[in-house]
Amino acid sequence: MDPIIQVEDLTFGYTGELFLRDVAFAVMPGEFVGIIGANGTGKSTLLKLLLGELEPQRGSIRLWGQAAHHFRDWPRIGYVPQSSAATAAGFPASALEVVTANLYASVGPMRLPGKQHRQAALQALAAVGLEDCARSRIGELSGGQLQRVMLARALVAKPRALLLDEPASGVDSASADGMYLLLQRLNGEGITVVMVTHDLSRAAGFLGRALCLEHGTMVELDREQMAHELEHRHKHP
Amino acid sequence: MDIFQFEFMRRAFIAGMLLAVIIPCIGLVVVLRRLSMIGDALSHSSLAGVAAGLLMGWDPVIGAIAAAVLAALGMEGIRKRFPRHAELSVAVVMSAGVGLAGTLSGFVGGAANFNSFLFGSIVAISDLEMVLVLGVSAVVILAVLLLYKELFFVSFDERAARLAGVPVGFVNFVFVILTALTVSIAARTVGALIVSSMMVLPVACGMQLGRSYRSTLLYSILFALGFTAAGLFLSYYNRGLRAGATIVLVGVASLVGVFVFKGLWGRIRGTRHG
Repeated sequence: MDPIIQVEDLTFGYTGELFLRDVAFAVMPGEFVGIIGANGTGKSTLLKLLLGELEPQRGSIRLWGQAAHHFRDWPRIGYVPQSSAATAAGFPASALEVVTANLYASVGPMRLPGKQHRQAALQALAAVGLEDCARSRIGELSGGQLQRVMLARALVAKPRALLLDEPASGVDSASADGMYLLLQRLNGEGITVVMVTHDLSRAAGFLGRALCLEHGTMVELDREQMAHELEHRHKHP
Repeated sequence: MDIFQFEFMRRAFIAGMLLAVIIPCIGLVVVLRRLSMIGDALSHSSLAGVAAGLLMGWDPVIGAIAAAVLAALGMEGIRKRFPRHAELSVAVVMSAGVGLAGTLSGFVGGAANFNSFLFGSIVAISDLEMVLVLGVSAVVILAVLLLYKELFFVSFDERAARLAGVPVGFVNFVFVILTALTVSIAARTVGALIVSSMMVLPVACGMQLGRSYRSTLLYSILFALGFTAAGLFLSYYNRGLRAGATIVLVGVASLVGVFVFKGLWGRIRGTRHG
């Protein structure tokens, strides 16, 4: 089976100083992987590299065998951004409109979505438990609900993999656990999940393995190693 | 109503109503993407085109359109050259526009014609200008309808729009050109100094009432139509009032009214459910 994401000898820096050095990992279909790191360790930069927005100085990033910078089949990857309640508060859009927007590829350029597209969007909202909020203005939703709307937006295009940026950021503990359980369910249905987060302690119970960024390099932890790492942190805060 | 027995007022209403439809179509995206300064930059650049047109003997509206489109292309060029400092493009173009307008206006004989573009002269639209208003309105309405969902998605989340396959660069380019066309045409009616206010005020009112992007756009257009009609009526029956400035003041008063109404309505609902 070929990997969905293959990163080899990835080296990158914004100016002269290198930010990421010789990072290498692969994500296989069906995995639930976390990219873990504290603030400033390069998680967002790695995310931009994976999304083809930046080119590495050295090394390669391949998505389904294609170089990320030339990859065009992005609807295969459902991208869930770190939601910002502050940004959403002022934007006059309903949850249904936000989700339907991601059906661009199926609607086609310079056309308006039809009834079947709105139906697909409603189904995506139902999959995340928000069918009753379809007509709600996104600024009126809680942080957890807004994050689920972003997830529904990604799911509506029927991606084969999800790439999430801090999905539990800015939400309460119950909502964060609810989001992770939802992702675990989607993973069980065959969707590969790659989640960028700074919070290993909360996410560890859901991940198959963790890719930890520290000082520009990456260390891979399986479940046993994650448990050991958390125990070590607990004893030596 | 004797207001409509005059040809110039009928023209003013037709032009005003068309602009009241297209300005919020552009204004909503401008506000949501926090690009309000672009309206100012393009309207000031259009003044330079007006002055150049008057000096060269062209219709000043054509000069305004040409200058605004060139300014829009200039902004896109600077933004591509310096992607990390995109806001510089607006500042550079605005500075160039204001400087050129100020310099060229000094050579324009008959300052009244140039000054009419500062605060607008909707009641003195020529046949050519009327054709341009009709043409630009048709182009903007068609483009906004065709690119409705693209403009929405790019305004909400440009990165996700790109990943979904939206040609973000093309949409941004077309939008800047549409903004240039709208601003340059509106400079003739409501005035270059007031255009950016007309882009913002109906949208600000619409955002207080709209519960979706579509309803916000529709409300914005309705508010713009109302401001324009009220402003034209008030300026007709009070000869000292300039139409463009009156339209904007009606807009400001309406925005205050909407805020007050929303506040009172919220208190009444709170009392009922309390």
